[in-house]
Amino acid sequence: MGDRRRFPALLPLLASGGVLAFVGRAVLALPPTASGLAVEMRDGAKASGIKNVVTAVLLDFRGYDTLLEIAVLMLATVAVLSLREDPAALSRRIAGRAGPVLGALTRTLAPLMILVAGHLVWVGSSEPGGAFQGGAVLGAAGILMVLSGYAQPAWAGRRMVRWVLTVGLLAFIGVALYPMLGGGSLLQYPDESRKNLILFIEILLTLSIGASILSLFLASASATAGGERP
Amino acid sequence: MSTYLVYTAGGVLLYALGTYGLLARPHLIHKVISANFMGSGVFLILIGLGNRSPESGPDPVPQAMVLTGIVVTVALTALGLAIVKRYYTATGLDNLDDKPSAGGDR
Amino acid sequence: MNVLAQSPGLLVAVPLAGAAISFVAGRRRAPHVAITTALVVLTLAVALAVHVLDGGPFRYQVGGWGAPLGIDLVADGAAALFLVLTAIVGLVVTLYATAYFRTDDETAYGHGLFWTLWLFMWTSLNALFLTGDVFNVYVCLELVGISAVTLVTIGGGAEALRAGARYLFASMLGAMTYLLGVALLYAATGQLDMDVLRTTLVADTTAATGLALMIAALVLKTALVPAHFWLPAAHGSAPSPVSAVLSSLVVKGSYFVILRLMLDVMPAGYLPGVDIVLGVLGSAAIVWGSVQALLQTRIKQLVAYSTVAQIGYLFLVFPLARHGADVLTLALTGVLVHALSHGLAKGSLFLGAGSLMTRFGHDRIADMAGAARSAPALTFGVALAGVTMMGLPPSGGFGAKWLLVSAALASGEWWWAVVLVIGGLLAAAYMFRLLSVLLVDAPTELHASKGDIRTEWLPLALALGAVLLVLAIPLVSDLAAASNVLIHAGVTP
Repeated sequence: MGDRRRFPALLPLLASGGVLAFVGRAVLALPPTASGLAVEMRDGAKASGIKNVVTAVLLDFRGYDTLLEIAVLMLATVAVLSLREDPAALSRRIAGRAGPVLGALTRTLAPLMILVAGHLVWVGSSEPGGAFQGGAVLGAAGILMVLSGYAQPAWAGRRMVRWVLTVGLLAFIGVALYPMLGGGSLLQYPDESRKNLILFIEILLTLSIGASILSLFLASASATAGGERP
Repeated sequence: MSTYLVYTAGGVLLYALGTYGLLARPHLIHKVISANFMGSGVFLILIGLGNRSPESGPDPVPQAMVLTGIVVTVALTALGLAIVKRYYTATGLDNLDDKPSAGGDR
Repeated sequence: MNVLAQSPGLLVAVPLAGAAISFVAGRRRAPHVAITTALVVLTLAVALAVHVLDGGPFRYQVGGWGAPLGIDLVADGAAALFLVLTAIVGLVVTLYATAYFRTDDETAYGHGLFWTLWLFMWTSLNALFLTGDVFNVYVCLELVGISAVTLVTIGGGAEALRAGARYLFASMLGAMTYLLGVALLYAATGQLDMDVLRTTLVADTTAATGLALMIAALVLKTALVPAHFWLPAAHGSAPSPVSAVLSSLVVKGSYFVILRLMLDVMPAGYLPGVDIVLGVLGSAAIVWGSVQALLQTRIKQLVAYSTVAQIGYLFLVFPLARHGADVLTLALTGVLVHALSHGLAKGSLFLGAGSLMTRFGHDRIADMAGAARSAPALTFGVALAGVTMMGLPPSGGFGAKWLLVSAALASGEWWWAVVLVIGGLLAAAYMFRLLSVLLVDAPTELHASKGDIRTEWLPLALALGAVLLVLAIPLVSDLAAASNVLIHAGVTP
């Protein structure tokens, strides 16, 4: 199907040049000052008690975006797991590869990374940080541990790992639904427990995001066990 | 030239490059990378244009959009790489222009 | 808890929870999770429609903040129709899939992850039909895109992977273009909420460029000719329950956003000429898709090209919308009825095609002679779906064409009516080509002598729904009248 529909080289050039011209013109037409929704957001963040405005936007005002974004990440993980081939191949390939240097490095770094991940989540409400940053560091620690043989690649797709992958999204949905019992709408955190609920979600999300990143690595790494590159 | 325009112009340039690569490059990995170019371009544009009001500080909404966008792009990239690899192991092909031979179907 | 008022939030949260639970439930229990979710979502969708019919459209403030600070969901008549369509087709496909995906092979069909992927897709479709925020649309589109691409590849064959890769790159291009459009629109207006944009949008180069990019991206995702290049392979090579969902629901998700942006958010003539261009492309899609469908030799390719053609009808509303309130009402009701009847009929055709392929063990139309004798229910389902595709009375497709032709004649632009008639004749040609083979009275050698009750009768049930839709047209008109497009145009008080 569609072999004859190879794009002529002219079309990409036209598309690319069109983007440059039209988007460039649109950007230059903008006034040099504009604050968008900055003022509303800052005032709103003061009222909600979260010091970091970006965190307030992400988890409170536009928390619905973030709920769906977590869904995107979990969906991508499920998608890549559905495309995986033979997970055992990666186990065989990695086993026996870890040298003494990688082992020593992992023994030093992995605990530190887990600590840093926790720290990033904790400071997320007032300074840059949060579940994604923490989860990324946690996932990296996991990858390091797999590469040096402290964790098994075949774990990807196991029931236990599935629970860790899912717990963040499940907790988020639970917290999102909870205000409905009191007549509020989806994600309408009660004022008195807002901060604690957000921290609760963030901690569980960190675990799930870390597990997602690790699973993405493991599941897609297994596809070309031969070592050839596409 | 204002600072915000520097970032925005860089973003537009990256985006245009990515558009060309995604459409013109036959190699599938190149296509995935080109899409990431486009993503980074948009993120730069968002951040650049969201910083047009020095006195009230940067607008947090584009920043939140970028953070969401990055995660979505990571997800898309992961899926893209997984499909490309699986397609390669199934057919030995690294582009969509050549047709897989009948024996390659598994 | 007031379920009626909470239905928008629940229509997203419930299938999302279903997706998460189905992932941890394991292969054996995941189908039960999916069926339960499907029943609850159908109830919720009907509840939302009832609520809209009773009290008109309503907004649902997620997080209680309200636009522009937070994200609002919008439940109006048009959204209710698409949600109910999704729930009906969704339930039928879920039941069909319990028979279709039955296998003892642990790694088949994406390691049994179909259910989770499908529930994620359902979540994202519901979210897309409800959202009132242009950036949230982006997140929803990505959820739809990732789940759709993965579901295409879940069969695992080289052809499916190739189609999935092509679909993925179209999806990526669409996603990035849409996001660029949102970036420009926000930079120009400082707003993301569609309703705030509707009341504040003024003539502006940057905002117009942004909206044009967003519409171009959505056109690519809806596969309107000439951006349809990815569709036939993807819809044709996916497992049949997936094809059914892609053709009958997924293309309508991005179409629905175009409908909102073109007819509700933007004032008339905001992007001059775009409405005509969309109408012309729609007409081209009707002719090109039908002719291609006529030339196909494999059953699912025929049905997929028919989707390319049927998408075209949806875009005829845009040029017609310029001709005053009466024509707009007719045209909008017409495309909504068309979306419903095509959704039901196309779902039926793909499920039926899947069952026929299982029974015959191949997908060549020419070698399916005698199906009427050995699989009468399936053949009858294909025939009924064909009736509504051609627009023969009495059927939903007939109602849709009647309304659209009336709108075209009332507008004075009679040539759109000519396109509608040609489209109907071409649809008759390709459906008769298929039916003439199936109805031949010949002995057949079947691969599987008996089908499952679900794979035999569910396609027929959907086709019956598409035909009986003609009786529900007054209800559809009421819901169309309760859509924001007509309310904001001043048609409905």
